[in-house]
Amino acid sequence: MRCRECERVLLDGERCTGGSEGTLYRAHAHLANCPRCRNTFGGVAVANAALELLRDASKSLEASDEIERDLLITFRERKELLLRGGQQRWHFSRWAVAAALVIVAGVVGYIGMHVKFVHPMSPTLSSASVSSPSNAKHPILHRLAKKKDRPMRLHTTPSKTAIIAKSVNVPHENKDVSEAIRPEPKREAVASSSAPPVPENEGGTILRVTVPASSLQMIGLPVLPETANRRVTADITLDPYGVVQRVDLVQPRPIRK
Amino acid sequence: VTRLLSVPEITVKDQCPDDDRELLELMQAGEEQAFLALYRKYQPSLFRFCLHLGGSRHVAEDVTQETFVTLIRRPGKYDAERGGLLLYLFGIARRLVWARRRRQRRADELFTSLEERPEDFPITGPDLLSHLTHNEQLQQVRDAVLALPRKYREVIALCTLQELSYEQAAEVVGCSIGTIRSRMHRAKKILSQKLIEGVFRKTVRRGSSLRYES
Repeated sequence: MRCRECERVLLDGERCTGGSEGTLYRAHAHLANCPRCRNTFGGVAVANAALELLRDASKSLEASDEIERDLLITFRERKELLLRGGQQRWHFSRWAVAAALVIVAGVVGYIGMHVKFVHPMSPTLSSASVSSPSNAKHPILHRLAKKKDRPMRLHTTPSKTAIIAKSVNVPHENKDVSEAIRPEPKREAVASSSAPPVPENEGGTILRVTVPASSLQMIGLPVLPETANRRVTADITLDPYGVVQRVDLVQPRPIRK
Repeated sequence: VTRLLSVPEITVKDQCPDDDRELLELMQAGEEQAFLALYRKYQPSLFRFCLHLGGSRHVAEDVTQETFVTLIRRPGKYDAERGGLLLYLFGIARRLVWARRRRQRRADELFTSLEERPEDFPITGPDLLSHLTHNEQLQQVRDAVLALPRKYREVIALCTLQELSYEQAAEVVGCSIGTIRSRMHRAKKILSQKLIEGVFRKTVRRGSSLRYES
């Protein structure tokens, strides 16, 4: 046997010899006679013998019976869980639906907070009450009224709460819009003495007009002669028959510097 | 719960098929006997592999249990075309042992437990003197194997102690046959050096390994 073959036998063991005792014996004989191989691979033979010792000593080792019992319990639990597979799928789908709802709610909330849809011709906008606190000075209404300089006809039913105008601070992030919907200054309401009181839940019209103060005399308001030439803005409440019920004077905005 | 905990008697029927694939299919269908047949077929080898790798009976039992729990929960992950079921279980156990070693990092728990438990490797000799001699030699070999670096130790455990072929060991470790072969040679050389030097002095190194100084 050559040294290289001896090395292979000693390192690979039974894999090289194929379980042949003769090959292993010849390798050991070569190892005993060859000083070079003895120096190089003498230790490997010792390692092989030691590992064989360890392997034989541990052959009878097994895990304890408790492991088997625990595993069997686990197996039965798993089996029962699989039998209730339908419920499990339902749990999954319920969670999925809940997660989807949360996502949708989040998206809707975000859109509601950050995006404002405004359309000048929308019916909601056209029916907004000028004297209503929530949208008394809507930007589009205000711009239209200012641009066309003519009274706007609003198809709303005036109620007593709508007639008593209040200025409300509405914060807004958009600069232009916040300017436009700046709260309207306080104003005084003057009831027409000749008209009967407005019945509740009756139809009516509010007109915002900008006219010379002298023209207010025509509807029965007392106007001082020195202020007769000034233009004033007023909300005129008409009943369904066109009779003036109430006049709300809108104070002019203070001029911003 | 009471029904689950009351395990009356565990017996494997004689007519259980030997084919692992059939046993696995039966196990997936909820057949207890098939699972028990698989367990009893592979548990000893798996336990010994974990013991040689981890060095502690406690760790070996835990890892054996975890490995079979993995098989119970995900039996579909085993691909019969890639190798035998034992190799698949060895692969799981190997990862679990090293993961546990990384987590714990306590050498005392892992290695001194071997010394405290001589019954892990029962000695069967003709008389007391041979028992003691045998025990001492065995302890020396065990320490030398446990002192090997991880990559060499698992090759020794697979190829020599579990008697797997190089191809099977390569399948478990996930490397080439040539790598297994070279690691095997290197491991035997290191092991022989440690055994020839004879006297080892244990010093616990930081982490979970042992350092032996002659």
